[in-house]
Amino acid sequence: MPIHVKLDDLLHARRMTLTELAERIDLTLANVSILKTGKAKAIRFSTLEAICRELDCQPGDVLGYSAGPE
Amino acid sequence: MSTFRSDPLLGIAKVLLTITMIMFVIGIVGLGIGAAALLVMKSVVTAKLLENGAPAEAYWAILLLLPLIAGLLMLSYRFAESLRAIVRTVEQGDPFIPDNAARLRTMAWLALACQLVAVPIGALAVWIENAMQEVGDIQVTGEVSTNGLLLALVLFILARVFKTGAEMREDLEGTV
Repeated sequence: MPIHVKLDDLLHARRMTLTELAERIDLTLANVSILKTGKAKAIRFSTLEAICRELDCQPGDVLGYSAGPE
Repeated sequence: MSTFRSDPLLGIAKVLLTITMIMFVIGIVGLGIGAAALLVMKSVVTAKLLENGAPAEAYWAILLLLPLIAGLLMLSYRFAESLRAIVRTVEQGDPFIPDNAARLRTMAWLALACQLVAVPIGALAVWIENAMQEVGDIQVTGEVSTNGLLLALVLFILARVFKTGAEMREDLEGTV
């Protein structure tokens, strides 16, 4: 998918684990893992908002676009 | 989901469908035995028919009628089987799956096929009934019913509804 999730880099920069983020944004670890690995089909605005709030970033920092095969 | 599992209607439906399926199987086996007996005892049956004033063709009409009714029962069996599978998925709390859309589509075609098979059954039944008026009262009915056609239409529509529902649920599952 041309849309990729840059959660790995953000978490690394914030020295935060996936489990910690999952707890803070009130999402299951399984779902955050799905998001991180790029397997999610869609993201709710509420989830994006919670991620931006906890990681102190903008939506553009979480998601990236690169032209390529679908 | 627990409400689905404890729903008494599902339990009753499952039991009724299983009983119906068993009855269909018994019917099919009975018709098979009947057809075999007709073949084996052709001369006896034909003689008996002629003796009672029925034309000789009545034998062939009866012989043709039995597999047609058996076919109708087979279609009905498959219908009940699909419905029971759907009931099971509801019980498991996961009815909006592509499999159920396919099952409903199959059921719609089966309902339509039942209507088609009912046409020759009805025609043969009328012929036999007329031919054997002197023999006694024979009741075999089969006809295309508006209800049956309506059922097929409803099932085709429900299949589409389930297909869309399954797609929506799949989308929702990938949403975080």
